[in-house]
Amino acid sequence: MTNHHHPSHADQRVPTRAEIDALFDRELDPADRESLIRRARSSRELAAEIRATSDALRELRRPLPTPDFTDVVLRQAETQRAFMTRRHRRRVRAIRNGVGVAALFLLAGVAVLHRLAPGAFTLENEPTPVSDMADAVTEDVAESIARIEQIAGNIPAREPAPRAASPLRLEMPEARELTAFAQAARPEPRDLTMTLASSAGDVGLAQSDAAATYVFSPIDASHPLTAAMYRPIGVFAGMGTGPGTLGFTAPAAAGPFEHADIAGLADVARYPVLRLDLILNPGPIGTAGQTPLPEQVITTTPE
Amino acid sequence: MDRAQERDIIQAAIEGDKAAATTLIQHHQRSVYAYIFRMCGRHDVAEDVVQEAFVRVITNLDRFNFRYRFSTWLFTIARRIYLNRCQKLRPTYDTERVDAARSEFDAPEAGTEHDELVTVWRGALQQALLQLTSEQREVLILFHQQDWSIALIAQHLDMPEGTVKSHLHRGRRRLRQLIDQREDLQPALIDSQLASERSHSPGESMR
Repeated sequence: MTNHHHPSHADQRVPTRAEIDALFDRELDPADRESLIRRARSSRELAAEIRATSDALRELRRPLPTPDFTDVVLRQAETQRAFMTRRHRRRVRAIRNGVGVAALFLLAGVAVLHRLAPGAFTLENEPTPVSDMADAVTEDVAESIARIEQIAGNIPAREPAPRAASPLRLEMPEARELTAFAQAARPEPRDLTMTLASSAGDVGLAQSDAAATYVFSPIDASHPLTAAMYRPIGVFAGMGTGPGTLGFTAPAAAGPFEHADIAGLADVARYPVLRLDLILNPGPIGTAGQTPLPEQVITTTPE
Repeated sequence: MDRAQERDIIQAAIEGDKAAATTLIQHHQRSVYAYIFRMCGRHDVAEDVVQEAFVRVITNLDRFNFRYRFSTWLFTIARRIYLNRCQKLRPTYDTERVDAARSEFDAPEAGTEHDELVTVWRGALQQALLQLTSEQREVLILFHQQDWSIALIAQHLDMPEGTVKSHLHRGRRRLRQLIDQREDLQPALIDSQLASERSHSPGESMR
């Protein structure tokens, strides 16, 4: 006998153990349940078994006389934590809300003040001579190169040697996302510029390829909660220097910057070659102090 | 009590509302007591365990994770207390526990024939439960008494769902066999006495 018989024949079958388990496991729909019970009646033994099991389970569900634990539990709990009257609780809640609102106002005030006077929270904010500035830029650039190479991991570290560097190549097998990182030797309240370009003229970078650019301010850099204080300064947009490029400039007011990250560049593997120009703390945009890094070429390995 | 209501009540109890704490206790005491009592078969143990579980829960309400049901949390704590207590009380032999369970149901004041029958049934069931393995007993109680799903039981007992089902099926079969062996539980008599209490169930359709 197979399972392909006519349904009326199948209806005659004595229920299997698995079917009876399914019945008590509440896995059968009403029709199947009805059918199984009808079939079980054909076997006196099986019918008695179902009846006895059912009786036992019904007894298991019968409510038991239960003592009331309320008073004894509350009395014991009260020795460890105090219950309050409704009025008292309302007062506590009001105080808590008040403190929360005050903290919010305080934070908002600090934020506004910081935007209006960015230097207000910087401890050292003395004027810097132009020569020092140039030195600082050179150091920053050298440091940036060193950091990027360090992350690449396959290029030996070298002494800071700004601007003379040969193009940096990063192997990124199976990479779907590019993250670049640069660190300034000394934080300066200057502008930050990053440009990302595809060297293949016909493969233009789309805005959606670059999710966001982030920078750290120096006070955040060594803070244990750095991640929480990660400041998104802007988004790569169509601000590049030519077609097929994406660029980003953070205003000086948002600085000073110590670290710069480009994060969330999606689907990098689409591009045979990407060029990353990263200029950290170069001085005000458009002046002679602007000091771009040499071209940083990041090559993706074709699959 | 739905999830939203439960959440509001717990929140109020966390803030120190005694009435909310009372509601929580009164809403859950019956089920958690039945669970522990059926596990151990002794009222004194069940009372101690349930009382301690509620005290712990009420004093630590601020640590409750609202992603879970309150009852699941309460049962987990009660179970832990019960298991700790079992370890301390070892060795306790099954026969002793069965005898203890029998004495729990020796109710001399039971008046009517119906009351007596209920008492006999209750005692028989408890003795049978105590002869199951602890896993079978617990799975049976949670599934058939507390109406927990297989998935929730698996999570609560930290075992695969297949294992839960296996304990459930074996436990149910063994329970029925143990009760079948009782001569004082005559199906015909039970039928006549308990007919009025029966809801629609597979066994009912077999009569």
